[in-house]
Amino acid sequence: MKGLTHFMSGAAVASFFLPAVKMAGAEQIGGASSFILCLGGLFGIMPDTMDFKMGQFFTKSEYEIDPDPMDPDPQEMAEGLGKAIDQAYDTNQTVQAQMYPMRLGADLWRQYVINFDGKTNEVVIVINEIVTTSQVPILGSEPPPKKRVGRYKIKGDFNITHGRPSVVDIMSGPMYGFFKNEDGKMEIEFLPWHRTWSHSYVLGLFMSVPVWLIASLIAGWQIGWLYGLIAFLGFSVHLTEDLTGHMGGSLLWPFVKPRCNGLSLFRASNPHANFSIDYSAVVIILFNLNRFAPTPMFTLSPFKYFLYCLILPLAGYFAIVKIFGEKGKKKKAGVIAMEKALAREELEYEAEEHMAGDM
Amino acid sequence: MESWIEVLLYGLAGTLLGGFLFVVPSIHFLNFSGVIIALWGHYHGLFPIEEPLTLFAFFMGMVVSFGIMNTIPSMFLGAPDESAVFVVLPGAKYMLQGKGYEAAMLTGIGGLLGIFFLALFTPFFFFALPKLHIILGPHMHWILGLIIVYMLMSEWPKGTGKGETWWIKLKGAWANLFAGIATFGLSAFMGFLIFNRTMVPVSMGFQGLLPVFVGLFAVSSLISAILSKQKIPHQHISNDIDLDYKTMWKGWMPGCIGGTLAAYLPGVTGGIGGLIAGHACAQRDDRIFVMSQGVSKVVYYTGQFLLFFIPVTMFLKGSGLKRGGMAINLSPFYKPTLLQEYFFIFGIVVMAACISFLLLSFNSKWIIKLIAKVPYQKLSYASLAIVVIMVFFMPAMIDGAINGETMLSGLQVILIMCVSTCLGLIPIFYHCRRSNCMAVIIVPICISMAGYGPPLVNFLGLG
Amino acid sequence: MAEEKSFEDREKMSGEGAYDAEKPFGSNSGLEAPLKPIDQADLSEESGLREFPEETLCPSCGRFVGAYEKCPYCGAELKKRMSLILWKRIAVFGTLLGLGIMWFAATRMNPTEIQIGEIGETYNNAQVTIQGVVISRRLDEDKGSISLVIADKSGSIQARSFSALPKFKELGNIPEVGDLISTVGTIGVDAVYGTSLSLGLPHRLKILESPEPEEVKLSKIKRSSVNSKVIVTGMVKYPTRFGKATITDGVTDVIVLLDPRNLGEEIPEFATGDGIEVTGVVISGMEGYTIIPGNVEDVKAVEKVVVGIPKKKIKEITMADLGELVEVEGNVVSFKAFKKGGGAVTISDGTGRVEISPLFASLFDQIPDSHKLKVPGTRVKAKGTVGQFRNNLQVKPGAAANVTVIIPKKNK
Repeated sequence: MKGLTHFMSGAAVASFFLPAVKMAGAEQIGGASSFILCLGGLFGIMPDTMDFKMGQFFTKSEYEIDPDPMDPDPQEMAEGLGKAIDQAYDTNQTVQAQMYPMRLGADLWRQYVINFDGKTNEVVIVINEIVTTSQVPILGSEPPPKKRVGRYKIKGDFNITHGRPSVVDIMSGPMYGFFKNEDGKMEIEFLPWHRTWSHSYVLGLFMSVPVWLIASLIAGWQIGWLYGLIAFLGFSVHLTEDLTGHMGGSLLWPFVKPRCNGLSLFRASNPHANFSIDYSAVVIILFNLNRFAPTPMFTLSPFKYFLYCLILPLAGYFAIVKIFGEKGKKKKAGVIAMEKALAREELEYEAEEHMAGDM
Repeated sequence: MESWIEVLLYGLAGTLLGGFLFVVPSIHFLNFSGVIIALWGHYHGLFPIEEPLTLFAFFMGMVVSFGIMNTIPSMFLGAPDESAVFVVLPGAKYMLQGKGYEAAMLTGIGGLLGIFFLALFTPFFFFALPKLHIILGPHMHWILGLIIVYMLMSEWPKGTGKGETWWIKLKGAWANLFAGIATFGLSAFMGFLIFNRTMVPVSMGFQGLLPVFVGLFAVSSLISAILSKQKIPHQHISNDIDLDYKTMWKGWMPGCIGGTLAAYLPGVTGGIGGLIAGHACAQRDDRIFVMSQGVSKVVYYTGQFLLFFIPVTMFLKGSGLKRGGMAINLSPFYKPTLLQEYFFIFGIVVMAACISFLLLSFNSKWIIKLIAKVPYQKLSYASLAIVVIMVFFMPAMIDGAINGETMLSGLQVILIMCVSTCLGLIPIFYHCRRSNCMAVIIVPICISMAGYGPPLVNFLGLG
Repeated sequence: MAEEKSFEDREKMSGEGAYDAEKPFGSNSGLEAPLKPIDQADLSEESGLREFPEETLCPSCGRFVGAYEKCPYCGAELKKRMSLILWKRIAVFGTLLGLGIMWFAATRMNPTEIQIGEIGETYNNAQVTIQGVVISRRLDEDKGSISLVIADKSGSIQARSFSALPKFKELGNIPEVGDLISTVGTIGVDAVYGTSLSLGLPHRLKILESPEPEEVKLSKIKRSSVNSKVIVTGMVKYPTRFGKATITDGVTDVIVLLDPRNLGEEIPEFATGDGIEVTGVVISGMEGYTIIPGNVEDVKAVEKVVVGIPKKKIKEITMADLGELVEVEGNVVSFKAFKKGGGAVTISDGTGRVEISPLFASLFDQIPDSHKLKVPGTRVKAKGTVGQFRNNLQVKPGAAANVTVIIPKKNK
């Protein structure tokens, strides 16, 4: 899920607590109101913050593939990645490889696609067009066919569970972790540093302890526990939401370190899923603020309230999306470009073979 | 003359004046309202006392035309320099591709859609918003706190992540983050100083934030434009726009959400509202972004002022809503109370929007011709001079005299502007979000609403 | 369209180093040579569009580095445009230095002292110092609010805080009516609520002087008494109505503000003719002078107030007596009921007739044996001020105590 979704969900969870809402309301005479509900949002966004703002920089990679943006060599890139996989195969240890983007200007990047072909057991790199930061390609700027595709056949076999190519263009490149599984096949871990230690319920518990202690020292022991609880719940809601995606998390780190798979219900960047959760969070917050107010503004039953304010509007929204939205799974433009390049390469290879046959 | 014709004419005057005035970079309707109010203090005939709605109609016309027209200076008269700017905004991208006119018209269409949204949501403003306000009113401080937390937490590292050691990687990545946090903190500190000590002449109290905002956003932008070496390419004036209904809808929705958030929440501006709405709707297309910015701006500026016209009888506590600088500046003069006044002003809004849209096309064309002949850096110099003169002479305009005292007051105001200019340059040169500068009002308002104002004020020695 | 144009342009520009993906395999020449960013990214036939300034490229490895001062790829130090480096430094140091100076100035400066009369619309949100006399005070313990009216020679202003009363109590600086104070506050100007001063800094309210009240005769109250604390004694002419009573010494009438919002609910009841001593601040208004007491202890009933109410025959009362206190006695001739209760009683003493009116329902119900007022022949004594209604003279009692139904004692 996107950061805002986790953030809103954390705040929504915090709003379920009557004492928290009362402390947050500006009704104390001569006193100050609490920001306890912000704690839910803060800890809701905390796991990804720890990963993307800190964790990734502490992760070492054995291989760094940093192509020259002026003259990218896809073959060299494929070999770099392939050697990392081979090393993992040979040593039976996890090997990590970091890919870097190719920046050409303030608003220009050279796009490339990484594909792990499970059928041919090859690492395939395809260099695409130059794109803007909005990922809009500048047509006609792709390299010549000779400089377009690179391949490397690995020693072992891939175990491809997702099979989706990775498009690398703007801002940053992915890190891969390669390791041999029990069947002797090579597993690929996308962003091995992401959703590991930071996405653990156990860590959430540990992080809520200092919150509890500090809050207790300031606000008193009788209420400090609530701050810690809200911090933990906000953190936990993030992890739970992330389980809806593909990647999952290391939910019981440090006791269970490997990352578990998610439920693969939808992609983390799915705009409709994110929007509906954001909207739901707002509706829930309003419901809780109203019912905990000294004089509730409306007295609709929870069933009616959620029917009129949540279910029906979302049903209408998804109906519009269903009727007018784009049908079918949409491939990324970069992947389509890659497929075209590979298809052309195939044709050229056949032409070459044909010519060689004629000769 | 019938009073309604008089009001209409004032609305038209405000629209036309704004339509040409806001083409000048860094002129904001709030700054200009200070000039008009100062002049009105000495020339009472400017607005008839017996028809106070004329004042509001005039300024509503200006507000609407600003929302639509200020695309032009930001689009054509300030190109991001390769050296100074790391992230190129979609509007500027269009301009660099020679499609600035198309982008301007996209935002104009967005503006009209924003007015359409305000029309559709009028029943909501009357019946649902007052009730919502009762629920949310006591919780405003932590809602602003959520916005503050999200603003800080949602800024991601812009560094390459390259380096031999983790420290070099971290340092490279955190440079812009640190700049963002520093900008936020320093802006908040400045806000506390300004809110708790009137550092401008007291007779200018209603424009106490003028030098701060002019420095943070206007002058710093002009300096950035002056320093820029970027040449503006030839701009193509197209007869049609690359737009379909789906894209319109996708741009309309986040713009409406962002603009409404910004209009209702105190201290939150269109930029911040747009940021949150953009994250909520998660769309990436440049066209969607440009259009949503157009919607968001108009909904924010116009909606904020329009809230002032909701009859107080709709509100349980009978005090109404006062949001935004324009409502605050004009509230000493008159408080609209009748339902008819709301609808009449809305009519002015619709008229102003239509005229401004047509003027947008007209102005874009001659501006394109102008910048082809005159480098925008020179135009920026001229705008800078206008803005500085306006700020310097504001105390004199209010007092109605140019003497030693008003000159000294003007200097005092300029010095404050210089400090805020330096602060406003930090996000430009250190590649963090400029919306962090809005901490100058959000944080003091948030802290004050929560009741922590007095202890903090005492702690800072401002008590 | 743009893409096609750019593609054609690229063909025009093609030569060594140009891309041409449409050409068959093997026919491109010189394609292995590395391309500069300008060639990779130039989309327009116009020169200068994508001319990256030299300082955006690393001199060592040639990669685009934008505004970095050290190349993140090869670590080379980069020369930047002097103006940019300078402005970056100015931005940081200017901000820190400027804010430091502003903070220093803010902590040292005192908000400007102004006269209340000079406050205009442009003063909205200005923090100022005001010095004046507290002429009214209202405290709400439940809400924690404090409201003062401060007056100086140029005008008066309401100063309030909605929640700082506990803080004021803690500091012990809640002023009394009549105190000369100096306070810092933020001006608020609103079309609905008028001009007010927000008391956001309780500790900045200083009581400069708590003058002792001066004993003054009502007739001696002059312009110079305005905003001063005085003690006056008089007789109640008009009892309390809508928070105001009028007292007189037979020569001068002065209004006394007996507002429960200021003094609480324990304000004693006064009837016409009662003696009263009031300690309060004198203010001047459209109705003449008004005395505002600070608390309920400042309003005392006193005896032996030397102002008599003349007992007159009805025929002796004329239009010239309008506003004067009189006492009359006579028999009920008629009673005219009001729609909402109460009524007007006409009495006669044999010399003439006069109406005792208005006896509103709330007043009528408090008169002992009031039902007998409807019975012709009932003996009634009334005192009040002479008034007129539709050119008919009236005696306005103003209080139930001023109307007495005289019931003859039955002989045993």
